[in-house]
Amino acid sequence: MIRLFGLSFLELRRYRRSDLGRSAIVAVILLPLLYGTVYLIAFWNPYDNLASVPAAIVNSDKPAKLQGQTVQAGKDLKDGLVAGKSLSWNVTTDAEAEQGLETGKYYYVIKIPENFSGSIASLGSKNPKIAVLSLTTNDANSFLTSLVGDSVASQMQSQLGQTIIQQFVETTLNGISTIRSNLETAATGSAKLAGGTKTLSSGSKQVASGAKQVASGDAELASAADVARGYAQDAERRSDQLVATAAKFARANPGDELAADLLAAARRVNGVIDDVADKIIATSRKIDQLGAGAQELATGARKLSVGAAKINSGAQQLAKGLNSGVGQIPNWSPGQATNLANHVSAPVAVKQVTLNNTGTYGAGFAPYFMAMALWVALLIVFMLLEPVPGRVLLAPRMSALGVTLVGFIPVVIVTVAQVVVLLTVIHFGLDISPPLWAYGSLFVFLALVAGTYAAIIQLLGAVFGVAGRLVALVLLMLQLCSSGGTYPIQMSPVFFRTISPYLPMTYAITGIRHLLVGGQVGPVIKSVVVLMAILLIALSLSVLHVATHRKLKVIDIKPEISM
Amino acid sequence: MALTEQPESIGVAAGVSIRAVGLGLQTRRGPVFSNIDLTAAEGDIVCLAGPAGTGRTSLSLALCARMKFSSGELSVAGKPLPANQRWLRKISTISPGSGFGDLDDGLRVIEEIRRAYWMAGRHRRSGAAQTVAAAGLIGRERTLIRDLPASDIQRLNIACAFVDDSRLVVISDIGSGVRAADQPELWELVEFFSKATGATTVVTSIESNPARGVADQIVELADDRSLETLPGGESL
Repeated sequence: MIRLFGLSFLELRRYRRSDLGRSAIVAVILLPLLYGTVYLIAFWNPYDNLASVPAAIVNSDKPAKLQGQTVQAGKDLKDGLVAGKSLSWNVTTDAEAEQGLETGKYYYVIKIPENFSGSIASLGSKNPKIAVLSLTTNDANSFLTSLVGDSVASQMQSQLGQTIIQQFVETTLNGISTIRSNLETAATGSAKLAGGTKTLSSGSKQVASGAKQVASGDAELASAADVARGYAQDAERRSDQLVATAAKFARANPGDELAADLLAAARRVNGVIDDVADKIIATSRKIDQLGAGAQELATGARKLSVGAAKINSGAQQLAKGLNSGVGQIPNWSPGQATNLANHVSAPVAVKQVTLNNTGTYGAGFAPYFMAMALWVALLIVFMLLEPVPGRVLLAPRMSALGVTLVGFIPVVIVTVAQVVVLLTVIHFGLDISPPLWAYGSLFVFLALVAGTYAAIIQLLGAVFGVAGRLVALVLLMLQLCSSGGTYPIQMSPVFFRTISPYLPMTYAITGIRHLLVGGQVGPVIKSVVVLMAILLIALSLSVLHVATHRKLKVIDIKPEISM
Repeated sequence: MALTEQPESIGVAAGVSIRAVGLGLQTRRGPVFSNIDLTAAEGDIVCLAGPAGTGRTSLSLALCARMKFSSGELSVAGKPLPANQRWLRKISTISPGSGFGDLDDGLRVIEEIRRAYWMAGRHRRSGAAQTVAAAGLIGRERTLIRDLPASDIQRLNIACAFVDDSRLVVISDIGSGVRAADQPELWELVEFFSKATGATTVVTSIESNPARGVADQIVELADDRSLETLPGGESL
């Protein structure tokens, strides 16, 4: 047993004897720490950095009126979100937002529809409508945004519930209750009024009909008096005629005592008849006057009755109107009120839409793993092939460019085969099946990615020699955390955000993602351009290094460690 | 046999003169070689002899500007180094077999020769046949390197070194793995090529004896190095 331990220690001790060996052991021990801490720092709490993730708001809301007040729920929501900084909100037009979402400028787009305020204003009515916002993400930009979108949506809903709607509806509900109770009082009062006027009305009707009767009875009396007067006048006339006749007779028969007696009698009768007639006429006049007064009374009573009837009908209408008004005001039972409150406390629904939906977690992460797998593959290839082949380096007629390319091209040939394998696995293993032509562009793009990686790792091998592989490993770790393959890069700390645009894996993932899920061509082209630039720069630097390092060092012919 | 055939003239390359005075290389880990004096004329064959670890490979590399030196003077064809190192690199070739850039086990004879021609920027097939013949490997073009005996590998090393038509040729470790009895043949091959091309040839070797009669200069490297020990007793 001691032998074994002794042998094992000697295996390690030989590394103590050279600088490179010591560095190698230290590096190897620190490696997991590097990977672990870098990864943890990058993803410690991505949700803390949500405020840096760019998003767009499109406000198409038209203000609505509720009880005379203007409701601008759309503008309020927009202002609230921008100030609240739940994401890095930008107010844009519909077209700008869609374009931004397709190209990856924005990760989230919220659209406030035209009828937003209208829906909110409808909350207190019999048919409350839920205002629907739409939240759109694009899996071609990042897979996890749609998952993170859930938390964004609920943040928004709670924001809405708390700051705007709740207060608003509370006030409205309270106001409505007050109105209702006031109306009830008015309704009760007007009912009483209606009852009183009804009595008045019927009473005045009776008066009117009574007066009418009086008037008509009086009219009868008056007409009877007219008749009497007529008779009286007639009688007067006749008695006058009689007197006249008697007079005539008396004159015709002077000295005739009978005639004279007759005349005297006629005169006496005439006088009596005149008296009576006068009395009758006077009485009939009085009766006329009485009739006129009774007529006036009847007319007045009729007017009174009509007026009272009008008042009564008005009061009835008022009472009816108030009642129906009260009836229109919703009278919530406690159960109904709770239901409405629940309805109202979530008056806004957020409809979440995912563009270019990749479906499963695995499919969403495929671009990330593919980009990572290619880097690892290239690392391993450079363990078999020399970054700078020794024999050609020493050859007199080989230019620096020639030497570099003889190191580069074989690696590319191998990685092309690796890319074919990768694509085959993708096709049979994943449930996303891009169309056949897309495989062609995917193949070319992956070959470009592999070529770029190869150029970088070759450069590292040329400059750092054997330690270059270690540097490549460190670069792998950094890229895993800063390429935005999982969460949007804005959710990682500033350091990773800063280095992200300078590392090839960022662009590899962007391009693969858009090609796999069928996103926009724009980001793919941008990635292609940047990757080619990185490739050319790395190759050029390698050529430069080779040109200035065509000598060997003693270490090259007697290496201390081999990896 | 193959030696009697004259290779097709690949252009007469004039050799170079070499003059080294007190040449030395010191690294952090100690001296690699020190106090080397050498004078060679155009077309000379120089032998650098010494056991392993005496710095002969490093010295041979320094003479053709593939390694820097830290002390002394060196001039080739009258041009001082390190000022003219680029020029020197372009006109000199090192054979495979130094431990860096050796023949590949997995390749065949004819493939390694083609490689040599391609690196030299030449495409003539007929030249390749000549080289095969000169190396005495006719009929074994398709043999894998790993299946070649040590002497044949050395012959191939030598032949490949002269493909470039360089003015200065370095042959690394001519006797490596070869019995003492077979080494004179290799030296004859060196002489053959050197005369045919006119190149100055520097040959490193363990033994200096087989070089006598062929080499114009012999530099022994044993004395300086063997007196020194490195920390830890390791050999370089």
